[in-house]
Amino acid sequence: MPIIVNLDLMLVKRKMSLTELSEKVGITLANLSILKQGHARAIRFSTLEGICKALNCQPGDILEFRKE
Amino acid sequence: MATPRPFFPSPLVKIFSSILNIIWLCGLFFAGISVVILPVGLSGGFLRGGLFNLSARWSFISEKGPLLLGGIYLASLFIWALFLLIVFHLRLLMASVIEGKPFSQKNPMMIRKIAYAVLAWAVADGLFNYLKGVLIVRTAYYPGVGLDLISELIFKIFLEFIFLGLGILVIAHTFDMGVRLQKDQDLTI
Repeated sequence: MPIIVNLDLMLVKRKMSLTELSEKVGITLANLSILKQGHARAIRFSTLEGICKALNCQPGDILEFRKE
Repeated sequence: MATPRPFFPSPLVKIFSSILNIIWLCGLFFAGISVVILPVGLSGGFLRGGLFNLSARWSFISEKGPLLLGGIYLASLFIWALFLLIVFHLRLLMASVIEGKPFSQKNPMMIRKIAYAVLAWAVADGLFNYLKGVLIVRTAYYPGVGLDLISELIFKIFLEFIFLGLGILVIAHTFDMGVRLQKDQDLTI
């Protein structure tokens, strides 16, 4: 998929663990892991909002479009 | 974000599941009996004055009676096997519905198997009715009337089962799409 999820990059920048983020956003660790590995097919606006709030960033910092 | 809502199957589903379990157990019991009497059934032994001495009571049965009865017995055994196959898969389907996962990967395949079993049933039932017609109708009534009855029996039941089987195939295809949608839903974070 040409949409890349840079969640791991943002987590490193904010020095936050995946478990911590899952607790802050209220998503299960399994779902967050699916998102991080790029296996997710879609993301809800509410989830994106939660992640952006927790990581203090913009949606563009997490999602990136790359031509295949 | 959104946690899946707990699924509570309706009491009707549980009742239907229990009925299916009872049918399954009875089916296995009768299948066992029919396998035990297989040699007698295949040889048309009922007609030869053995167990029930039908030939003495049914004087209209022709000389080919034992052979035809063997054929009827085989056809009915095949139908019975198909019946058990259908009930078995229906039980698994009901279990997945009770579990709250009707759109699992294996369910469309099970529905497809049920559809093919119903289509095979159509053929077996046609054969069964044909043999029954030859055995009883042709020997008991006028030949012309007998043939009319036979063709009516075959086409009526044959077509009903074929439509039913095709209908179930359409449902299987719909379930395929349901599985795809469920996967999309599961992978939406």
